[in-house]
Amino acid sequence: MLGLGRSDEALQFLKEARRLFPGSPRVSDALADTRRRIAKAALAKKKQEIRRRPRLDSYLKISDLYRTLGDFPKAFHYLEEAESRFEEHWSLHLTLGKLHFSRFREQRDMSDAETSVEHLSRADELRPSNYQILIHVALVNTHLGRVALAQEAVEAVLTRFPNDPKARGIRKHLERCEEQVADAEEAAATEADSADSAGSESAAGRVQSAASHQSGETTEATDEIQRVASETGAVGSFLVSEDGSLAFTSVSENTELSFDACEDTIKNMVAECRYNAGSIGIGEFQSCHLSGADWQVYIRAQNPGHALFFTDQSAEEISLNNAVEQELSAEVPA
Amino acid sequence: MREFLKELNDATGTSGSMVITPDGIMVAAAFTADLEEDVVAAFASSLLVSLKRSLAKVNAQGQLAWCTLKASEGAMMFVDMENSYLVIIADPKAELNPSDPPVQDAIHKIKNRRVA
Repeated sequence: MLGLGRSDEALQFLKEARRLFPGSPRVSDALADTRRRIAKAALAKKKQEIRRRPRLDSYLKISDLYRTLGDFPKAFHYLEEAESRFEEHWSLHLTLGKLHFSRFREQRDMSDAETSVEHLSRADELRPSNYQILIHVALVNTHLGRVALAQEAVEAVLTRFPNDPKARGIRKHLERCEEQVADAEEAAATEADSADSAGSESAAGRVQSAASHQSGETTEATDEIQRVASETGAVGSFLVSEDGSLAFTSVSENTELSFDACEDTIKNMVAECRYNAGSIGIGEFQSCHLSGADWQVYIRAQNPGHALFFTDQSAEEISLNNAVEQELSAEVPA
Repeated sequence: MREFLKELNDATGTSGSMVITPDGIMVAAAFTADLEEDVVAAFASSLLVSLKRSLAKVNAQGQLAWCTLKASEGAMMFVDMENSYLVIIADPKAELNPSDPPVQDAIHKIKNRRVA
């Protein structure tokens, strides 16, 4: 399939293979290799785009693709070019913050961590209360052991998105860190500092596991949606309950789509599809697939409620509806 | 334009089709007897305008290129024709695809018809 240029299908095939053979290193290697190929193809396309029409979001996407490929020099190169070409923008500072943090995690140079914090702070000044920025501020400060700053950012997210699994996971992790610190201080005053640093250094893995643990406490439906979002690369996934309320939200840290204060928008999309399908006379709404130049949305009747998936990939890169349908286990109500 | 829509309906076996402007005004329509043109046009327009507004709020940049909606008793597809949308209503089992030759043929004729 890769030889025929059908990398989208190859990716779906390998995901199914991973599902059937989760421990296979050959499948894992093939999947990673396919993702790199897709990233390279996406890179080629994005580079053509900026030659035709330079746009800030294209530069940011290219940088992010290089980050995915592990090529930090090129990732930084495109951001530096974007800085010279465009006016200061919050998304540029966010991407710089993320890139410095990624490099810090690989190379453990503290100057990268500090630079990451500076860029994220500037992004927050330019675009206050933005979900992506706040989540990254929380993550970076968690890794750096700056609990108070991390908590402040997490609470800001949870004020607006009380059910956000990522933020709840970070908060839970921070609470555990504080308990551990309190235990260590109680045991011996001199050992408290090393217990702190041990907690901070393991933060990277534990934020993820805490988030996973948090996910395990959600309902089966939200677990399924989260899994599908992860498998399909959806940058936003939501579940609207039968009563029209937003039951679940999960937003990726890396997208040009904006899900700030989107609760009403998401609910309205479902309501409009349901209402108009019935009014037109084509029966009960089942699914809606929307496509733009570099995004897609897939809305689907679930059992119960309605799921929405957003991707910032074009229909040429991935057929979002097909990808979701392959991953989902729930059947559309008749 | 209505003739092109009728040809499209015949070629695809669909229940009906129409052309609407980006802000939802119907330009032309050709539907089978069991679909009320005005009703379909009104609700299809309403859906299109609403979805576009929502997409703008999530910063989904650029035009809505196409949209396929499936329901228990039918399916609907919107396809962007730059200054208007082609809307097709079909039965629920229809595999609507904006790149299908009859759809592209109809779009080509309608666009050229408008230019002329």
